[in-house]
Amino acid sequence: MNPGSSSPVFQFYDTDITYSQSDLMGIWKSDEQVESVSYDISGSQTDDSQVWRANLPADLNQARSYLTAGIRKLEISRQVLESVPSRLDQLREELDRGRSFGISDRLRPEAELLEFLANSEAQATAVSFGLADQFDSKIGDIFSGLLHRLRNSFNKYAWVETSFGERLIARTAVDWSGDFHTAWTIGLDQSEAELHSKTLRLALKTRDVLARMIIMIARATVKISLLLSSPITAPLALPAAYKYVHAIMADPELIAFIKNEEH
Amino acid sequence: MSSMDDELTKISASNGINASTGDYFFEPETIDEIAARAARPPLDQEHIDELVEHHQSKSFAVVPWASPKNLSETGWGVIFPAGDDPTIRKIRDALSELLDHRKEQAGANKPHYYREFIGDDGYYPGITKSAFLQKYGATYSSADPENVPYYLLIVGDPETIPFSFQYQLDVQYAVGRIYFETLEEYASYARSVVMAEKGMVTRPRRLSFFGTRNNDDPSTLLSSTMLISPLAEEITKLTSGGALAAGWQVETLPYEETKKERLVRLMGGADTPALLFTASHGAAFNQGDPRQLKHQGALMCQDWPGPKEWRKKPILTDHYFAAEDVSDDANPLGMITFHFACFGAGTPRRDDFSYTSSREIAPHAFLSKLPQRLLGHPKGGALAVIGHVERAWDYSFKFDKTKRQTQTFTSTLFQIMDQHPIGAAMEFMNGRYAELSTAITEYEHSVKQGKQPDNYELAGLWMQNNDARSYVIIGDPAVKLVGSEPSAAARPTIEPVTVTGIVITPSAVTTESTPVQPTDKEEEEKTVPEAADFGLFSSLKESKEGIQNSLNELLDKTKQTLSRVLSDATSLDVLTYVSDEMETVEYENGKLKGATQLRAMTRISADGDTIVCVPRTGGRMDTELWQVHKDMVDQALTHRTEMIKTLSAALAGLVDALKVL
Repeated sequence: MNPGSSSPVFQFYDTDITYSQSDLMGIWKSDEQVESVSYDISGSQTDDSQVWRANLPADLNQARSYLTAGIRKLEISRQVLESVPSRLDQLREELDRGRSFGISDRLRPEAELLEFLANSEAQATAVSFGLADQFDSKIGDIFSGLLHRLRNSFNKYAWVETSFGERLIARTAVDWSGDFHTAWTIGLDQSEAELHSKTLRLALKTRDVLARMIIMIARATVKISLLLSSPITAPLALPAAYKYVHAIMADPELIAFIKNEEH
Repeated sequence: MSSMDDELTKISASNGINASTGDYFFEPETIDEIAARAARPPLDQEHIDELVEHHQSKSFAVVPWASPKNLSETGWGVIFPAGDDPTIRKIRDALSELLDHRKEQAGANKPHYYREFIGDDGYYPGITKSAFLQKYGATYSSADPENVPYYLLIVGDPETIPFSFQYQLDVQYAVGRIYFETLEEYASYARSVVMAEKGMVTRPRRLSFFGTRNNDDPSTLLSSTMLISPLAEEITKLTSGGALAAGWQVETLPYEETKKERLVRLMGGADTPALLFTASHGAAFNQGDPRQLKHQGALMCQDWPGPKEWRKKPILTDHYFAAEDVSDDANPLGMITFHFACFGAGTPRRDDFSYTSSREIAPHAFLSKLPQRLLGHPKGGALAVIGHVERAWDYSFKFDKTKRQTQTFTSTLFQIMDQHPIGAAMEFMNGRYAELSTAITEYEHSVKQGKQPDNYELAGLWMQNNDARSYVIIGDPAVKLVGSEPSAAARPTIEPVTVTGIVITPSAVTTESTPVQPTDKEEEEKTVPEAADFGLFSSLKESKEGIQNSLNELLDKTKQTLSRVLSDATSLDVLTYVSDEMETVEYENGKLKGATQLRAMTRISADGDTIVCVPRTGGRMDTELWQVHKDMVDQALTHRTEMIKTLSAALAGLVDALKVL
């Protein structure tokens, strides 16, 4: 996102999270993806904080556009997430009515979900040794990682920093109760202050969307379990839900829409 | 004061909804000014000494050989404005039915236990409480009816007999006040009290709690969880434990139902209880707003959509319950109500919490119309309304920022339900006022002894003190609650109502969620025995168990966090610092450390009370920094609201998911 800089624009760091994960909502790069991060923000790192840092370019308009695009992306992501229960309800209604759409007739996330469930159910009936393969153990790890990350956001305070043209302009601590403590560099003008305000919004919105994603996976788990015919396969509802929500978030149409918004 | 503090001295205190603008009630004030005022209290030193003595002696307000329930032992008196204005005599005559009744009760054994302070014996403008009492040989000790009766009814508007006189007298006496605009209302009120005390009026023994709650409004969110809910629980325990007469029912309305139309039913309508407790914002208006005199102190209802949606628009009459909402067909006869709301009882001419004594908030002091309407209703009035003069603060039900204290309310309600005269029941409120005054005195003493002055502490104590002082009775302080078995047929007759709902509290959430556990392991293995035998799902099961554990951990954490946010975080703090060495700035133990200067602070507490410290530069407000700070405040409020919503949704979602897995 920031071709002119050696560091990514948005960085995230949490000392407790040691496993490799994809970046947060496609916006924040975690420390393991960016080796220099831990060095960059070593002064800010503590075990009881989650650090969110924006390294904004010196061009004010460009800096604003990064932040605005990030916030917009999160807003769209949240809207998409909120559609998960109703999409699953609609799918179930169609199945209950026995409408014979082929998998290919459906939207891609729903098609993948039905395919996954169909394979799982078939193999369960055959008591296949291969059923366990349907459960990608990595999904379990990733989902556990998400839960861990969210739990940490309850345990830790958020430490949000904004650098504008390599000058650290503000730092904010947001504790579990929502209290804000902000230090601004002296002599800041309104437009610069606005940058940190947006960084803060971006960080907190990311945390919120992450939580909403887990909530939607949980709700999707319940709804998908109703689509399964055998109790044997009930445990598959969770990975199925994870895959489904992930597919919705990665929907090409959504990505295209967001890219279009960015431009 | 350091130079840094000199730059950080603007403070504002707000509470309630400014119905003229739709925003929170908000007026600038400085913390130094509040502290300075506390250091030079407007109350006279004699009054402070008396409060300290009252607190330290732990004595009852009336002499110990008199039972507060027996007017022939405590005495009863009425105070009119002094002078020979014929109107006062007409009012006296309009009240004659009540006065005759009290004379019979209080003067049964000793005629001088009944007193009418009228004519030359009445209240003279400017006379202090001590001067008034000394005239009749009373001292600062417990109320002795040999000199002045314990129960005292003030008759007059607060311009003629000021609130300050009432507050001061209330420390050791049981004081109430009535004021109406027509003689008919005086006569109606007098007859209502007499009818009630002669057993001609009964109400079912029901206490109804009416607490509004807007989830984007810290005030009502916390008053519902830290006042209404615990209070209802405590009172319910007392009623079920046999501490009160049989047949008491405690009804807590779900906050979604706390709408205006429900208050219509509760205040003189079909559901009128014997005792009603409301907690809500009070509508406040700017001076000059034509609605101020008739609607100030009206009770904001759930019809108001909350500050986020509405705060920038004037409040509509549909959002609050005002005097004119008690129709001529209503029947509030015999009820007692307690309104926790700003200006619920009345409004002083000048801001009680402002240092700038010239700052007027109303053209004159006045009683709120709603209590007047309820008491003077043409078809028979309520017996009394307990309310707050000026702004009501969350200090009333919390202390030390995060801890709730509802004991004062519980004790007061208990005694009212136990048919103590309402003035005696209010002694718990007066005791708290005395306790806080003592705390100020102790603070001053410790400063004299070398303690470093802390203006925040002093200002906080002073504001708590003023808040505790300002609960007053509108009505005769000797009235008692009328209550009967729910089945008793009497006028007015209403159907008994059972407990219909419980306001969601953190504890209730926890209780509901606790039984939800991951699927029992044995049951689970029964479900897939063959698969287990073949080792079919071994990796699946391992992963599933790991996820279950993670979900459970997250569920526990979510519950804890939600509980903490709702219960403990009674205020939201936003602090703004500046620094010329940003790299040194760190966060430790809830505070920013390093080369920083605190320049602005906002604290929004339980019922919307807001303390704001505004940055100043060169004697003027630093508007640029103030704008930056305001943006942080808006963002913090939005974040808090979203956090609560997300936590609630997470709780529900995780519980459901665990049921499936």
